[in-house]
Amino acid sequence: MAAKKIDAKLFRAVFQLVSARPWLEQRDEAVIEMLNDCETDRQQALVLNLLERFKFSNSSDLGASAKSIAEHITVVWALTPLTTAIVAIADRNESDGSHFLLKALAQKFSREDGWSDVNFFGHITSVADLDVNFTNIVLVDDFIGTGKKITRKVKWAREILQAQPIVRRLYICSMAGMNFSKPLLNGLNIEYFCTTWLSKGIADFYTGEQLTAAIEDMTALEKTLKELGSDYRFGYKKSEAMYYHEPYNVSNNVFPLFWWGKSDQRRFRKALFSRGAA
Amino acid sequence: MSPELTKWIVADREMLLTLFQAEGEVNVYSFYEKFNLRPAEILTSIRKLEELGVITFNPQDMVTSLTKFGRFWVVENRREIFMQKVSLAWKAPPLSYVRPRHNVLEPYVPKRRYISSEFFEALAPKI
Repeated sequence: MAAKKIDAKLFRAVFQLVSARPWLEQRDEAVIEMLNDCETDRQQALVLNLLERFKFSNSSDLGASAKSIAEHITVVWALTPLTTAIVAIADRNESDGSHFLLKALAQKFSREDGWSDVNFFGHITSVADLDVNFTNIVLVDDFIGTGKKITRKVKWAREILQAQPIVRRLYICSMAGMNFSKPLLNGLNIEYFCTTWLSKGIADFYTGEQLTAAIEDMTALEKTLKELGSDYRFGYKKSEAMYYHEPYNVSNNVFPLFWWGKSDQRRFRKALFSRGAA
Repeated sequence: MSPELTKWIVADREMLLTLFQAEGEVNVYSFYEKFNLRPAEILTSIRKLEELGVITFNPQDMVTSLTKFGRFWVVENRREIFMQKVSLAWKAPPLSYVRPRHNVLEPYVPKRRYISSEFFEALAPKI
């Protein structure tokens, strides 16, 4: 069903938004539906403002990000192919975003410098039986939200490594991460690198009365999302993320307004992004 | 010389016809309001037609109009734009269901029910 008509003023705002952001061209109906679901002009202004600041990443961004991560590993950390294993943090039998970043990364390491497929591992469980020469392990994930997942993986890897007779050093690399996860990452006492650091969409942008109003408006908008669990309000654990890498799954750290599929107004909500099975 | 004709979509046709009839500036909102064209569809058509030099678009006022060249161009290419034959491939039955046609030069036995009774009456000897 086509979205309800919007007035000329709002159409102008959507048109200008879509003109400046090509990634919205295939999603303009979802934008209109979101704006229609708003009850006040202030709520609509908030949605438009969030969309203006939303960080959309595509295959060329992935290439650029992989290049900068590869440079950081080889130049800043000065890690060499003989001693370095680059490991996706996905568990065995699990397929997640760390895989596509690992694949993209593998393209940015030169064979002439000695890097080859023996340096890249698809699952974190590989840490348990790595070659003794690999004294450096770079853990790779596509996105760091709250930082809890990567912390859990690092702790697991450390437990495995402690049982081994050799000392191995851990590193973390990611395409994008939330600024508020830095204290948790710092607490791990290992070096980490992230191409893009993101701020919270509301808490880190607005201040004073505007902040209060924005929180009030987002709370009201999320109330229209049917069966939304309290853990996901303002994004998982209140992450307030505004980031998406096409064509993969949107992170649950993103405001659910942009990806939740059920609403009180309609059975099937036309969301900006979808979260599939994996 | 006429610009190379590309495939014309509904948005292009609706916009060109409206602009041709309006004889002046048209607010792009009217394309959304009248024809239910999505903002991205309007934007794509504007970009395409602007590149061809057929229309001009003022993003500040959100208005578009045909250029002098565009007006001639619409008339010149009206057949291709508005009377383009749309392929109705979906409408045709699958070939496996189509019976072979009779050759018009070969005799055949027609079905009785398709023949008017007047035909037989005319053949009967007159008493």
